[in-house]
Amino acid sequence: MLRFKDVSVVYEDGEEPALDSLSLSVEKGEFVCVLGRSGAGKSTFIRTINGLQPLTAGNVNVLGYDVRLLAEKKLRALRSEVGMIFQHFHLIPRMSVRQNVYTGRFGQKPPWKNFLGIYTAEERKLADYYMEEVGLLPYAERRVERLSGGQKQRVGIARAMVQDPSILLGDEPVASLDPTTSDHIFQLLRQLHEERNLTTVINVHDVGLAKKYASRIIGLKNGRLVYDGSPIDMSENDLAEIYE
Amino acid sequence: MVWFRKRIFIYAGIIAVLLVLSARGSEFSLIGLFQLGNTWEMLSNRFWPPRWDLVPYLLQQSLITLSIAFFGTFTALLIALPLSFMAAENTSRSVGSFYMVRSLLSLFRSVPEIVFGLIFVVSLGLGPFAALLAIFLHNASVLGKLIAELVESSDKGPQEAMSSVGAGRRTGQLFAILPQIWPNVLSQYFYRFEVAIRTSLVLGMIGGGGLGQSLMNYYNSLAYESMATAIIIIMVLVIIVDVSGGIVRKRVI
Ligand SMILES: Nc1ncnc2c1ncn2[C@@H]1O[C@H](COP(=O)(O)OP(=O)(O)OP(=O)(O)O)[C@@H](O)[C@H]1O
Ligand SMILES: [Mg+2]
Repeated sequence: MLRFKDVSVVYEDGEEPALDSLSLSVEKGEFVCVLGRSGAGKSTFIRTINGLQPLTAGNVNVLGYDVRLLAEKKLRALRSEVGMIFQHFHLIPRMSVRQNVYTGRFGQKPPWKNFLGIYTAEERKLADYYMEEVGLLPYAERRVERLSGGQKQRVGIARAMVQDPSILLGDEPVASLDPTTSDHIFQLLRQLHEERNLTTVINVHDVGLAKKYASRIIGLKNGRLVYDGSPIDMSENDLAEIYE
Repeated sequence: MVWFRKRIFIYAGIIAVLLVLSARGSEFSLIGLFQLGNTWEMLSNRFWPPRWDLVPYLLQQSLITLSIAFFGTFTALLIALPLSFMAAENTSRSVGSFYMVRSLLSLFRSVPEIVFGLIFVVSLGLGPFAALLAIFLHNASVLGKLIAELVESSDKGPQEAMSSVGAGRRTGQLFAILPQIWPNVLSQYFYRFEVAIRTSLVLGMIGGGGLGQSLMNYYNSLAYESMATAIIIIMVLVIIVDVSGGIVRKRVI
């Protein structure tokens, strides 16, 4: 599914690499949570998977494609296979829940159909299905500004899911939400993961959530892998190593 | 003295010097102020009563003025939108086209409408079309720059989300940026429209048609009572546009 080989990322103005020759792989159907202190390289790690973050060295292989070698068009095709949710949701303002969910299909349609908003019956069913699944069908026509944080993240999840992705990425999707709402969002993510054996890779700050929901935990520190294993095997020492 | 730093006194000094200099430059005189009474006398003697019979004709002229302002600014907006995406650092296709569009916009913006108007009145002849072109050119460049700045300061989050779903460059930019900046774009547009009404009056005075031209014709033929009617209509027009512009802007935001 996902293979990192000696991946390094050095930002233009950064002295220390954000990722330091990282090698690991993720198999189909895993639910991976990435832990690490602020600045450990979690966001950088997630963003290299769909090519939002270019590499300095090494290569990332996703669904059989070397992300680094993909030209614009192929990269877009790959991105449409990879859903992503964000800490600050990144929804399109002034648009309804339904309209936002439809934008998840943008990677899979020619531009003129996107501009005119032409969707097949299947696509519309897919959108309705996921709005229902995240519990927002009653709010479908509501503008996203008028939703709570948890609801906004649900829109983000529905937008990623209508892509019909093989991989779902999350960059701290619950960091702006209260504990109860965070737990509900993780329940939903876990449910989606189980229903379709969806490979899921998510950054979290909350160790409790990671332990409760992940099938595998990856610990990053200064851009290096310091823990990789199941949540059950993770000891206090391992945690201390990740968070120092 | 906690609130005042030394710098403030220096600034105050500079401003005082500038005030004195510009009072001289503009030939400001206190004695002149006392002669303002003469103006009032002249107004009430020669401008009163206005020629009310001209109202229908002048209303027709004001439609021309409105048309110049609306058509000129709206077509300017239509051109400015795509230009602004080319002139914004985060959305331009290449550094080369970015600088080219930017400089073109600055170049056109630096020419006052009245100068465009004078040129077109000579090259295209008297009439509203000259004024229309002047207003179009100026507003396309002004709006292009303003909207480019809005594009540059827009939140990058939605753009990232559009990239991550695999949307094409243009689709992504359009959907991620336009909804964000739309209220500001409209409010800038209405402001430009209000300004364009006043400008098209001035352009009328140099032969650009409409109310401004009528006003100037009356003035040149010393028909002060007719001029009074034109002034009243102008005032009403400007007030109506200001008020409705305010209402519309409030509604959009
Ligand atoms: N755009 C950038 N330019 C320069 N340096 C960056 C940039 N983004 C991140 N960095 C640096 O790279 C390192 C890793 O950052 P990254 O955002 O991946 O960490 P993170 O684990 O996601 O942190 P957080 O938990 O705070 O989100 C940090 O040292 C950070 O300062
Ligand atoms: Mg981060």
